[in-house]
Amino acid sequence: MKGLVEMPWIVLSFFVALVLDSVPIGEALQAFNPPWTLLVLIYWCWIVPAHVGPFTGFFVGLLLDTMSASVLGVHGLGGSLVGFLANRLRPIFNTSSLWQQSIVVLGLVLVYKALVGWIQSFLAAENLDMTYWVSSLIVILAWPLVYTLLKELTPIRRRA
Amino acid sequence: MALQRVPQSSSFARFFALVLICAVIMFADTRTSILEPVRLGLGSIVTPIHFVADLPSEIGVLLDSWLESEESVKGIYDEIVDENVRLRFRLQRMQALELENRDLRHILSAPRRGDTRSLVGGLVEVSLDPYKQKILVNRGVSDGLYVGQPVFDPDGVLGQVTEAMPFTSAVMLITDPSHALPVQVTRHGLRAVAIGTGQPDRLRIVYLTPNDDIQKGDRLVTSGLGGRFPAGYPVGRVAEVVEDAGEPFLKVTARPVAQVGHNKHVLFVWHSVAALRDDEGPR
Repeated sequence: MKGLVEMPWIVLSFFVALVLDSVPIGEALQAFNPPWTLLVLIYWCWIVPAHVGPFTGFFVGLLLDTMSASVLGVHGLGGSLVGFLANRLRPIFNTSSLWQQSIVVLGLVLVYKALVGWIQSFLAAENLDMTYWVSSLIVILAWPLVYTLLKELTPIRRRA
Repeated sequence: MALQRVPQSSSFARFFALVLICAVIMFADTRTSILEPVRLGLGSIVTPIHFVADLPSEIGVLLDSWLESEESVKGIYDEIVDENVRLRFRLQRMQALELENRDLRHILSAPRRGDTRSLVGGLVEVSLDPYKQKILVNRGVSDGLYVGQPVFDPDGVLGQVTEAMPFTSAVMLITDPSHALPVQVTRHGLRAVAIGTGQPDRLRIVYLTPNDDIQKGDRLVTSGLGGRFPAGYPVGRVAEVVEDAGEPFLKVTARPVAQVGHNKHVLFVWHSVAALRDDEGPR
């Protein structure tokens, strides 16, 4: 199985992304730390859809839930939704340029944030301000970075 | 281009199943505690991630300690020795008072106050949900921590453990909007509830009517009702009392005495159940 060869790379990239998501960089900048884990998830959903999809998104989401000390299943639901949509949107990724992909990724991140934010404000009184939404724009810059890094550093290629 | 054959219909079914699972998990996690083992399992996966994420700040502390000059270390040392002497002197008086208190309680045939045990823990510097007042600490189930355990800082009540993982735990601060703390005014024993506001320097005291005697500067301590927190520990000071003729309740805000958001070290406390029964009700 090819999947067994690729596995360590995928696990490693998720590990690095989860670390980047939880490194403290000061309160003001924190909101503008891109959702690295989500970007890595979208990348793998596109490149190896046979191995990474809603289920991976679900599991990674549960890890995010544990890390951010929120109710179990909130990020899990968001992760499985992004995994599912990213799997479905592969044709768009295949045929668009890096910057066009960034817009699609931004859309996915916004859907994710809307879902997670909505559930969290439903479960507990939380006030989501403008920063919560505006900070997603950083994704437009972060996606090309994630794409390039994962493409150059891992031996996994999209089989066309 | 030949797309990989991913059975699309099954992926939809799988996604739908996951949504259902998530709904069940969320329900179970908010209403029951049956997911504790799952949290423990996930927690042990997350521990190495937190460990690596904490490294930069650890290294910063290490560099700081290397670059510290000998004089300043000596200064700090002198200060600590000084403080230790002062604290031990106060402890002498405290021990005498404790004995006296026990004898008086014996005369009143009131039950004895329970003893408390404590453990010092440090902060793990990782970013949690920015919209939550929570911190992560480097003690966990392996140190005997449990969910609902009271947490203090050197000045007062800080919060309670909401998630105990093997080597780390999450502490919800008293300033979290979903945290409510039973308090008591030291001046006359009036009981109230302090709810977090989401801001680290403000608590809201709710359900006090204009008839209740509460003033700016009143000290608030834990009342021990509810059984989570031991009674009599400092919580805050009333900062503002606003009376609105159209409202049935007063708008009271308090400033926590604990250095919420600035602590490097925290204290976990175990208190015996005897202590609660004893402290319930007015004296």
